[in-house]
Amino acid sequence: MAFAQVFYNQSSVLRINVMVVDDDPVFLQIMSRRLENLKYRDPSTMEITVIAVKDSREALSTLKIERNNIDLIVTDYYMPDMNGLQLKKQITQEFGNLPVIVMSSDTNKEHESLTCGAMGFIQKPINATELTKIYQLALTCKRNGKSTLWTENNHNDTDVSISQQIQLVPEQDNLMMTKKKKFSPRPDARSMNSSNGTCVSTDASRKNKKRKANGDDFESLSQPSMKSKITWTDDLHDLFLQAIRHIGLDKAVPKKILEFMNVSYLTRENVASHLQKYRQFLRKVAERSSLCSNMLPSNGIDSIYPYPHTREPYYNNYTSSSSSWYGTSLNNRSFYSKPGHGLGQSRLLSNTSDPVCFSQMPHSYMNQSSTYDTHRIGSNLTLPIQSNLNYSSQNEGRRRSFLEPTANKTSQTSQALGFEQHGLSAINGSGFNNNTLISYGSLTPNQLGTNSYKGSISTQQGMTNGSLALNQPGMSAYGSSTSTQPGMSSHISLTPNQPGRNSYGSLTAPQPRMSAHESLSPNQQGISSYENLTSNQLGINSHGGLSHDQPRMSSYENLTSNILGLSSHGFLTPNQPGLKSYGSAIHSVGLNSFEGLTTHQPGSSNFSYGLQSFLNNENTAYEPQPHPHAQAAAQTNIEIPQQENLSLFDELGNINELLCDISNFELDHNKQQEAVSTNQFELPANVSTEMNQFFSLEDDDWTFVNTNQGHSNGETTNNVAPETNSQTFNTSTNHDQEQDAQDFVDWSFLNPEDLANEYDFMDSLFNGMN
Amino acid sequence: MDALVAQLQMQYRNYTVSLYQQGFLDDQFTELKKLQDDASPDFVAEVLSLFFEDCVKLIGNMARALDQTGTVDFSQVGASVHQLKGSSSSVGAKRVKGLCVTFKEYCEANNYEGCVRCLQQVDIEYKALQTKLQDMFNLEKQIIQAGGKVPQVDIN
Repeated sequence: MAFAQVFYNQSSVLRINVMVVDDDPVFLQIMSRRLENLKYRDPSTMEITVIAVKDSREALSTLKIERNNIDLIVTDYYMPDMNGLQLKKQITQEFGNLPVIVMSSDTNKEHESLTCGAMGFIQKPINATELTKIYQLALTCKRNGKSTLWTENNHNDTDVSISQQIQLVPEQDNLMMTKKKKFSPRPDARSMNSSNGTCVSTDASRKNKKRKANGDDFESLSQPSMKSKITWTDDLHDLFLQAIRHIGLDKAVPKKILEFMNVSYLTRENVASHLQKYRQFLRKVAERSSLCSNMLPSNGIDSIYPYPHTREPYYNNYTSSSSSWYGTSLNNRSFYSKPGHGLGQSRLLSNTSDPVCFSQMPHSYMNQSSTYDTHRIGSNLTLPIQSNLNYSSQNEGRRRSFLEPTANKTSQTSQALGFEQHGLSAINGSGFNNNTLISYGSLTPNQLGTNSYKGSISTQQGMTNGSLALNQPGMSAYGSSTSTQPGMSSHISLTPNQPGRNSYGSLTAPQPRMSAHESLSPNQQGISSYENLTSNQLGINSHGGLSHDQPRMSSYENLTSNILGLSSHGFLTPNQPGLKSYGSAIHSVGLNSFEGLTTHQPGSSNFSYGLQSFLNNENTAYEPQPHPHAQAAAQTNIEIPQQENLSLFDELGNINELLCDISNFELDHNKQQEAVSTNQFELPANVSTEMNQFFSLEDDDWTFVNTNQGHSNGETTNNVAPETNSQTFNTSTNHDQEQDAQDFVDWSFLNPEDLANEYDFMDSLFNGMN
Repeated sequence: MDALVAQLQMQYRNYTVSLYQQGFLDDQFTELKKLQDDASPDFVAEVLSLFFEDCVKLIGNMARALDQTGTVDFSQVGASVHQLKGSSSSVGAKRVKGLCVTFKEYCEANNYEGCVRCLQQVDIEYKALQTKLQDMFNLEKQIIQAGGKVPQVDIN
């Protein structure tokens, strides 16, 4: 982005801070010098600062002070007191997944180190090539760390006690654009170009500012030149939507919006053009909505990002009965994004009458839910889709987003409208390129209006996006963001408003760390919220969302994480008539768990599924069909470096608890109870089983929804014949069946193959949209 | 004075090469020298001082551990030996490092005499190295005082 470039040029000094821990002072001195000298290798200016500490205790106390300023930790293995691995574990426990490299003259420690989650192992004495490796690693961590930092900043604002990775919707004020890209010229040339590099971080607190590793760069970044092209990241868009909501769409003028947003680098022209685009988007949505409503007289809508069904074809699925709507929403479960994405997640938000919700996510959740209000209000479905970022070249599956031109790849969003009363929602997804991706879709509008959504995509590595919208009649919109390359962040947003509403956010994080995010908003009638996030590699994120409110609601969330880290997520929403929710999560190596569930009376569907990929950089996970295979394949390949991290809760600690406040939710014990599937979340062993679960969602269930107003047989809202799925589902004998039936959705009904079909369908739908 | 400088430089070169050839130094030392530049002209000297101080300290620890009346805590001796091994390998003190390897084996075998012998040898070795390096530094100083530059010695 030109905008980003401006910043880049302004301050092209990347500072890398490495902490070296060793009891040998001689080694410390030599190593420090060698590392500092590395900066001369890089033509682009870079400063490497080495913090040398002689023991583990000092290392930990230094970290406490300089937490966000340290990009990489290199530690000796053999040390008196606490050895290198113990230190690593301690660091992870206290500070999250910071990258740690272990050294030793003893090569036997290599395997053990890697297993425990060290980013690397280097043998002493360290020769020049290994030093270069450290340097490269430091560079990567630095880049990744930025986004993580960013997302973590927002974490402070959240009330949810979620692991530090969770990020909340950024606050309006003090948006900061942070972009610093430091690339080693050759290898990353590509990434430099493609990545937006723009991470908008909300400077919610002073602390955030200080924590920025590149403090000085940050300052310089805050004043973009007026002429630079602005990147409408999810956060920005979110802010924009809030402004519109506040002012009122009809009264929205760039000047007022600008004032409300209060973003220093934004100009009136930026806002004006963005507003114009947004209006166009709304028009499109409205058109579709009317189109849809013709076809679906009484259906709710559901839109799921991955499913194109929101588009015309989708309408075909609708029938006048609410049940059909229900069914279609189920179809939405094709949350899988096209192959190529890491995780698919979809989240459906729907408004349901009952604010029942509960979430329990002991493990990862997958959510995907579509809900719709059979009776009335539209439901929002949003499907967040996520792909994980990891390394693999997955290219995200599809991400569609309506909007925003910001996304590189973009996604389109589709919305499905229709339903009796309200409008429908659109979802969008965003695509992003390269590595990860996530996408997301969402929301529902009610009544007439519809919502819009925004998605953004980020380049390369991470990306996420979310969107939501809301507004009176129809509404909901949302934005999402994605990040590029290494780090990544995601976003969420949401807005509730009178009738319908929803909100949602998501984020993803790439590589090392990851962030999480969530959002939610409840409001009167319908609501939904959702959030999800993904993380890849090392870190993981978690997320949760929830919402509940009177009439209906749905929420959902999901997240995925990959490799090492893992995330979990959960969410729930229960509500009366329609309800849905769901989340899905995906992750690769690392594990994540996720769950979602919803219960509600009559119709409701939930489903979730997760995608996973990453394991071996395969995008295969996305293909519904190959999923099971992919899983198998992926599994074999996957190494689960850190066993400890697999368990969702270990890593995050907080995950164990429900992310959302359950007290507001009432579990709807009837029917849906059985629907809850007992997914097991233990990762390592269960990865495959989980995947199966995810993929085993049956199509039938979805259809079921149509016919069945509200019987839930237990496995999925009312499954017609989950046989197909059950097979897959059953294959995972490891499944942990202990979960409360009521708490989990049984996704076994989802049939990957079926999903695949829908997937294409959705895809075409989306493609048509855009 | 050029002749003097040239002569000193040659002397310096020969001396350095001989240190390598006799096994006092290895390529890690070469790497260490590369880290020295105009910005930190005394880097090598500083590191080596640190090393020698470390030697004194660690040998003292080992001696105390071995001097116990009663049961000798070989693991403690071993820990110090390990540290010394690490330091010596970082600076390129090849002989010292080699001795530490042997020393460590004796520790693991709980061989008291072996350990004591190794301790004595380590003491001798590090002092010898210290003397040699001191001579080398003196030559460098002379070259600089004579107006010349210290040549880069290429060990192959």
